[in-house]
Amino acid sequence: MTRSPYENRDAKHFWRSGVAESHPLTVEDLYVKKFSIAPTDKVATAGSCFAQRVANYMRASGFAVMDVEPPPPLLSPEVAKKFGYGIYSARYGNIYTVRQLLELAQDAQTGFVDAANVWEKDGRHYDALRPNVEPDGFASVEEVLALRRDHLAKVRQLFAEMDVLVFTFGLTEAWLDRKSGRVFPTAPGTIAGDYDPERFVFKNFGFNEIHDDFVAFQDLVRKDNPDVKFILTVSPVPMTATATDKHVLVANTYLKSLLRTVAGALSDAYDHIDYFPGYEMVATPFSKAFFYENNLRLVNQAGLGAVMRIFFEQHGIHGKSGEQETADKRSERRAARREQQRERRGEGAPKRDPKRDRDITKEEAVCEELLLDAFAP
Amino acid sequence: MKPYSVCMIGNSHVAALKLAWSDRAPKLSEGFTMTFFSAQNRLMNHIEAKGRALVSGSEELAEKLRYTSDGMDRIELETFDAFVLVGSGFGIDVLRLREECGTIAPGGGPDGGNVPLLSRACFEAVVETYLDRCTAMELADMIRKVTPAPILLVGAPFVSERMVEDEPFSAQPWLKDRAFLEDFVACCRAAATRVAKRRGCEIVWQAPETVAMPGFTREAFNKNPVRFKMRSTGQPEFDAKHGNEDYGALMLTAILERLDAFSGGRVLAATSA
Repeated sequence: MTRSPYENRDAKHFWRSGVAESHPLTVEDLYVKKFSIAPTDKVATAGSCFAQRVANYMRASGFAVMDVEPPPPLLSPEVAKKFGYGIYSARYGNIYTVRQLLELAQDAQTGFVDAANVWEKDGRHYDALRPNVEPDGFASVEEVLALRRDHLAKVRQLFAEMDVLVFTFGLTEAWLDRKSGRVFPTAPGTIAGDYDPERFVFKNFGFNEIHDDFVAFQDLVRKDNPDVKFILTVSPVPMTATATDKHVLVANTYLKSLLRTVAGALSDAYDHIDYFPGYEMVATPFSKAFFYENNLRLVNQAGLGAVMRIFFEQHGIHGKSGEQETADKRSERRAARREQQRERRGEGAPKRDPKRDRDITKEEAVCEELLLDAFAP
Repeated sequence: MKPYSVCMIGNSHVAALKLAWSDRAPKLSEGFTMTFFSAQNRLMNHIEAKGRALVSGSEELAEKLRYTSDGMDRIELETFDAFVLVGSGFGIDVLRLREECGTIAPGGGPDGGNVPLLSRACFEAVVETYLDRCTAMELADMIRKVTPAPILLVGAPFVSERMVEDEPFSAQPWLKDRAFLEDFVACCRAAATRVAKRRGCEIVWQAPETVAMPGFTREAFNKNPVRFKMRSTGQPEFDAKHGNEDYGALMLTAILERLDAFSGGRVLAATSA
C-alpha cells in the first residue's frame, strides 16, 4: 500500500519538476501522440492564424500537406499569398470557429452558395465567408459565386481525400446573419460590408455548441472518409478584441479555456481525435511569455519552433531544411538568452516597441482578426 | 525638318510589317528611316546589352540581324528616335494564356478541366507576370536603361479563327461564348497595358478590321502569311499564328500614325487638302 496516489508518479506529473524546474525548449513528455502520421499521409490544415504557421512549418518539414487549390504557377509567392493561395490546404482563409468549419463542410457537400453572403465595399464584392482571399474584392456578385462554387468542389475533394486534418481552434466569438444563422469569419464592416444590427448579431459559442459542431463536422466528413483522423490544437494567439462587455483579458481566458476544454473532451472521447498541446507551450506560465512578440499576442519564431519540435519528436518526421532548422535554433537561443537576461535583471514582460509591433504586423500571417486593431481607440 | 529614325526589333511577326513596308508603305516624310532587326523567337533572347548598344550574343543571331537590317548586327540605341518592339513573346494568345495562366468566371469554368478558375484580378496578375517575362519586355528594359525614347509594343496577332474549327478546340464551348471571350481578352489587355506602362511603353493594338471574334484573327489575314525564314523560299498557305501582307499593311499604318503623333509630324508626309 502506498501512502498517496501521487507516490511513484513521473516527474512530468508534478508542477515543480514538470514545469517550474523544466524549460520549454527542452521539456519532455508534454505530448504523447495517439496515432502516427506517416510521411505519405495526406495532411490537411485549417483554423485560425496560428494554423497558417503550423501549416508552413509542416510543409517545410516533409509532411505531405495537401493543397487542392494551388497557386497559379506563374504567380510569385508574395502575390499568391495576397490572393489566399498556399496558406491552407484549400483557399478558405482563416476558420476561427468550429461552426464556420461545420458550415464549410456542409456547403462543400451540397455546393450551396448564397448571394446574401456577398458583401460590398467601394463597388467591389467580397465573399463574406472568406473575405481575405481577394485583396481588392471581386468584380461582381456573379464572379464571387462562381469562384465559391469552384472552391467548394475543391474543399469537398480535400475532405474526402485527407488522411489527417490538423485544425486549430481560434475563437468562440463570431458574428452571425440573424436570418440565415450563417457565421462569418470577420465582423461585418471590418473588411467589407456594413454593420447593420438588424441583420447581424453577435454570438459567443458555448461548450455544448462547439463540441456538438465538431462532432457534426467529423460525422459529415467521415461519411465520405471514414478513416480520417483529426489533430486539434488551440491557438495561443489571443483575441484582438472582444465584442462582449468583458475586459479582453477576461474574455480571452474564457474563450481559450472553452476551446481547450472542448478539444480535450473530444480527444478523450474519440480514438481518431488527438489533442496537441501547443497552447500550453506558449500561453501558460511555463513559457513566461517569452514565446510572444512584444505585443504579447503574436507568437515568435522561437515559440513556433519549440511547439513544432515537440510535435515532430512524436511524429518522427525530421525533414526540415537545414536552413530552417538553423534559423529556428538561433531564434530559440536568442529567446532563451533574452529571457535569462530579463530574469537576471529581475524584469517582467518586455516593454512594447510600437515600431517593432508594426513590423511584426507586416510580416505576420494573413489575419483578418487583426484588422479589428484598426478600430481600437 | 530633322529626319526621324525608327528601330523595329522583333521575331517572325516583323515579316508581315516588312513586306508591307516594302510594298505598301504610305508616303513618308523626307529622311524618315525604319531599320529592321529580326530573328526567330528562339534567337531573340540572345540579344544582350553592351554599353549603350544591343548586341548579338550568338553568331547565328548576328547573321539574322545583319540580314534583316542590311548589314548591322549591333543596335546603337541612341541613334534612334523611337523603337517598335514586335511579338517576341508579347501578345494575347487566348488558347495559350488560358492553358498556362488559367481562366475566369463566368463562362470559363464548367468545361475548364484542369485549367484553374481564377478571379479576374488574379488572372490579370498571372497574365501580367507571364508578359513581364517575355523577350520583348527584356528588350524594353534594356532600351530604357539607355534612352527615354518612345517605345511602341506590337503584339503577335491573335491566333486564327480557324483554330476554333479544328480539334481539339472545336468541342470547347468557351470558344463559342463571345461574352466570355470579350471578358477574357479585356483582362489580358488590362494586364498587358500595365506591363507596358511600367516601362513607359505604348501598345499598338491589333487593327479591329483584322479581328474576328475577340481574341481571334480573321482567317483572311492568315492566308499566304510570311514569316522570317532567311533561306526558305516557300511559305505555307495558311498559318494560324502569323499575319499576311494585308495584315502587315494595316498594322504598319497604325504604327506609323502613332509614330507620327509622337514625332510631331516627322513620319508621314504631309498631305495636301
